[in-house]
Amino acid sequence: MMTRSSRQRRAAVALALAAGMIAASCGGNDPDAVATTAPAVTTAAPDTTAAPDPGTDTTAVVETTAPATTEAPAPQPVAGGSITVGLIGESTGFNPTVDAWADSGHVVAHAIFDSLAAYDASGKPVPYLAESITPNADSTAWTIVLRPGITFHNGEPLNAEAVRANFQAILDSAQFKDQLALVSTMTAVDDLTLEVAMSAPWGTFMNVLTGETGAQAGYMAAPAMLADPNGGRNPIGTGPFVFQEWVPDSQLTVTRNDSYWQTPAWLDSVTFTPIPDSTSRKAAFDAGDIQLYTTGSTKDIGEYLAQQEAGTTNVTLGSASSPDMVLFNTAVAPLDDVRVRRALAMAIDVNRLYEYLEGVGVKEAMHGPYADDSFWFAESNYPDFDPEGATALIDEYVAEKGAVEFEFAGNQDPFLVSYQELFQAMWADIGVSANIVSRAQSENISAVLSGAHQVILWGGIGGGDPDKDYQYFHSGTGLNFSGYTSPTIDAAMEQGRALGDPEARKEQYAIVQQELGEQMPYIFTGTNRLSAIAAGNLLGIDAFTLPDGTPGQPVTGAIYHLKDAWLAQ
Amino acid sequence: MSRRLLRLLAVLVAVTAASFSMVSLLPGDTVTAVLGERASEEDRALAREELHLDDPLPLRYARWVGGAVTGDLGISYRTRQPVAEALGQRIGVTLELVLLSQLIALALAIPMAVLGALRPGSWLDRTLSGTQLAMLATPTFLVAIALVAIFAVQLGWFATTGYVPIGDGLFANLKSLLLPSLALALEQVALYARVLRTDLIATFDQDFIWHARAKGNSTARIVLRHAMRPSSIGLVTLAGITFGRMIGGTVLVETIFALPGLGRFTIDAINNRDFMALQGAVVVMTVGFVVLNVVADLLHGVIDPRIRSQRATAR
Repeated sequence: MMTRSSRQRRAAVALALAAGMIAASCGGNDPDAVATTAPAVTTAAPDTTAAPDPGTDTTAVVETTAPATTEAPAPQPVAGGSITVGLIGESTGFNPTVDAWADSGHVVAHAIFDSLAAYDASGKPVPYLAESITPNADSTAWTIVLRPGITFHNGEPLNAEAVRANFQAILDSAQFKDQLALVSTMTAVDDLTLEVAMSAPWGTFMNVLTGETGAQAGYMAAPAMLADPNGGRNPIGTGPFVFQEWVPDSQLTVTRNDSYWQTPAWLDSVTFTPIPDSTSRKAAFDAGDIQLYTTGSTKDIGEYLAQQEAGTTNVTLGSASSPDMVLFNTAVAPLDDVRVRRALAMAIDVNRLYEYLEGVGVKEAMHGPYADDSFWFAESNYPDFDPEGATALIDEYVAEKGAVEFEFAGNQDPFLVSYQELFQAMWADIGVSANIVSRAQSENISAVLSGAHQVILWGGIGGGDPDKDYQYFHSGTGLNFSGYTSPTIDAAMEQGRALGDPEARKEQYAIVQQELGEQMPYIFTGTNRLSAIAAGNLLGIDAFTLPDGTPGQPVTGAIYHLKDAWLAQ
Repeated sequence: MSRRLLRLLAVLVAVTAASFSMVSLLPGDTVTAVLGERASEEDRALAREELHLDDPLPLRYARWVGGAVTGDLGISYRTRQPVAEALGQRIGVTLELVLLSQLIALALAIPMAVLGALRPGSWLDRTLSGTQLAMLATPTFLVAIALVAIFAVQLGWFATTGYVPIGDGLFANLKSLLLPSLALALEQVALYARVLRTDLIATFDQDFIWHARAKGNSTARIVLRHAMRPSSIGLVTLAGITFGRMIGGTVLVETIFALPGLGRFTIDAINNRDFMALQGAVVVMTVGFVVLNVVADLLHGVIDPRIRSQRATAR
């Protein structure tokens, strides 16, 4: 029986959905995230969601959510069948060197294209389409050796020239060239070997070859497609599925690539259909119209995990993506005072936030930009919930400088406005006045880009490999939205980028986390794990296998692979 | 007719010029939408130059008009697809959706209006009026979500989302559009029924109706043969306006049912500051609105001969 509060919450969600239609219909942003888990995603740039987290034990997560199969032998995949996948939004096209993809675009891209590298189960980038990708001693030159005999769907060979053409297209792109910013020269040593020289040491080069968000340089498209102005409407890759047809905003169909360089995919065909409204997407899944979709809604994830017990649904929890967060502009008063920033963090009882988001048991508290179970996590002086301590800090500030008052911005989604009101109430308890400002997403982005913000619900920072946060933490990128800079952080971020050894990099990022925990330019309020929800008879979503037979990382953010998916008969 | 064409042209110029200026006033930046926020200042400047974004607004508008009169609506900034081609892919879906919703609305509204008008103030009239009020007061998105929950998820009679092109079979096509059309139609049912009921009640009081009754005509014959035509002018006017308005007003339903129509296209264009795509959509909506109102105007003369003769006398 639905309780009154549950009904009210549902009504609020319905209203939020209606109000969020406009944002949702633009594609790429997840209304689920808007409504329940990641206010951040709605306001962050599309290319800033998390890269995989090397420290996340994804295998363990999958094991905890998989149907009980301890007694029965593992079912063997069978070929055949077709599925329809519900996507969060539509893409502008499918040229990896031209079209900036949100997670939905990457899901389609993983079907059509392969990337030079991919993440293994531990989150470490390993060669995928390439046979090897190796640096020299100081990571100023990398050698990419391709596997022999791989061809694109149009018959063109995948060789060093094809890789160079793809990299060159990225370097020629105003919006993507920073992905390969340190590449200085490319030399085809032989048909299958490309040497890439860097202008500075670049230990994390392989990360940008993984074909994830912010790493589109890794996807390999056929040179003929790159040369075709309409190539994005007729994508040609080396992937497990071959593009057939695309009707924008309606559907995109791919069929199995029987000449695939690995074991061919099991499914005969896949149809991707964008369903921007999260309620409709869930309804489509519940009605059986789609067999797979992703959601960040903790409420829905909990519901489907319960159904998984009955075998009607398969849930694969993804690796931790960018957490929920609040961004301070440390350049303006009163946020320029670290006491105020610490007090605002200490005033937040995250459990109240999780209750509102229906994320109790799914969301986890954060003590920095990386989840506590992340390989990259380091202890810091990040404060715990302490309203008395917060009040004392605010009293001290008020006595010196006067009342603490600021604008607290978010978008116009009523669900999120109520979420902001929770913060507002907790801050009011310590004597702080936060004036909620609701603006369109584009206005919020403009405000942050121009430094006109004070406090805002934000996202896209943290969660994955810390190198992706270079642009946000380093002083010289123009994207340090908090305005907090320090030579210590700059040096550590530069070292973290240059070094190749994960442990050595981790030491550098610990320095960054300790300073962030001390200076508090952000409040990180909870983890985000998007989940792939599959029909009970759709298996293999949790089993992305690498060419050497070892497991890869199946779900990253809202991105997953269909290579090993199959339908039980 | 030539006067109407001139009026259409004037409306087109006014609306497209207004939308051009209004979009330029919106916060946000086209270049950011196209290149992302990480593009360098040099690249942003280059893009602005390529897209002529720094040109004076009148010049940009004149350039666009120059292309539009030759059928070239430009290229979408964001998708690089010709706008005319993109509109061609979407307008059919929206027109079919709107047409079907209007047919459903009229099919439900006319009997409701007639039943109410025959016995004004009766329990049936009051019940129908209450039902219409409820239809009018229920937001379309709630109707849509309820229809999906009942007929698609619970009963499984329809697909929850998606559009089947008419080329894949008329039945499948209509089936894919029935729930969204119904969601759009319910609000219109109430409006149409109330307008027609009021006009029918007035008509029933006319001398020629009393004359027909005195001659012993059945109620059905009186309604269909004598009362309906003169009572339909208000309905036809309202339907014409509604039809035209809905061509650009289906975004909620298109989003909920994931239909690849003009509404979603327009909202995408607004959100991404895609001037070219938006201008194309505005032209289609404006032409559609004006043409449908002209059609409604012409129908007045067909419905009521007195209007025809008045127009002839005026000439």
